[in-house]
Amino acid sequence: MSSALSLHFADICVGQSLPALREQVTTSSIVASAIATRDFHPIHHDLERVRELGHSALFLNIFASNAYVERFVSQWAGPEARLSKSSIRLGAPCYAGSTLRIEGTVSNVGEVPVRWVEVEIRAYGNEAVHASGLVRLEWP
Amino acid sequence: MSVNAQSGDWLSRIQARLDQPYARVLACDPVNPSMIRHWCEAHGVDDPRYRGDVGESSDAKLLAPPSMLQVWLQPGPSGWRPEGSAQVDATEIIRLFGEGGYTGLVGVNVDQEFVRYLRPDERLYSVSTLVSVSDRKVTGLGEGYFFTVRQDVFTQDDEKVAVLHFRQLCYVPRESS
Repeated sequence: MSSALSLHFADICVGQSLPALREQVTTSSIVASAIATRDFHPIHHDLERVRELGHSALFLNIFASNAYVERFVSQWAGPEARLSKSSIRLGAPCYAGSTLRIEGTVSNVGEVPVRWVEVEIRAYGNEAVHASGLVRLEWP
Repeated sequence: MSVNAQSGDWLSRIQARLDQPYARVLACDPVNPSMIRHWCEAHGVDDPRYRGDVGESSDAKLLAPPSMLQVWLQPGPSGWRPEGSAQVDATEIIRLFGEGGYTGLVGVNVDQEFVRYLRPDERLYSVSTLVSVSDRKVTGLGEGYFFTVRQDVFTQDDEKVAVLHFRQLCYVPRESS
């Protein structure tokens, strides 16, 4: 991550696209996320149980999806920007073996009461929409 | 599909919980650098704020990622909670729907507001409240109810640091209908 480079707020405009995030989702990465987020539901580590529930593979937990969305906007905005709000609609599960891809576009910018930006995001697991919504960042 | 269509006792028990905050659930661990590092490592996050090296002096600069909010409040695999913590929160609603045969569960919307970033040693507690339950709906997954739980998160000094709304659907899985 280019953390040393902070985005200049003045350079942000509505319609601007963020660099996409791509992450290979595997059984190992799903289990690592589940442990790191203390989500011990069997659907994130027990393949037998997952198959009983009608899924073909383990899938990412919601806390992990939130983590990747935060990483996606923070990598772009830099460490000066603070994530203040997110509003996410959940879609199809993101299964082991798929590529998580997150895309985003600046949908709104303002300066009152602090400098802020809203980014419309869309996350895909392969081609299925995994999550979509709005994330708000604020600058001090 | 006629699972408890007469809506039995379980539904009135759910409705009785509307707008009644559950007792506070205490975080198992204070905000701490080790869990922050594990989270960063698992998700490929490399952010100077979460390593504590923003600014000139690294001491006391470490912040916790806002997306870790619920991680602090999760019970462990054994379900253990610290002494003084409520053992039951609004996740009880899922169990009550299960009693009615609505055993399928899927998350629909998550809205989070973060007042500020957290620092190591802060100890959180949360108060959860069932804020809405829909009428019975026919959905693509099966017949079910949408419901929203609000979670207000505070530090040990009763400072509100975040509010979360989680909308979920409990439905009758097709196999059992």
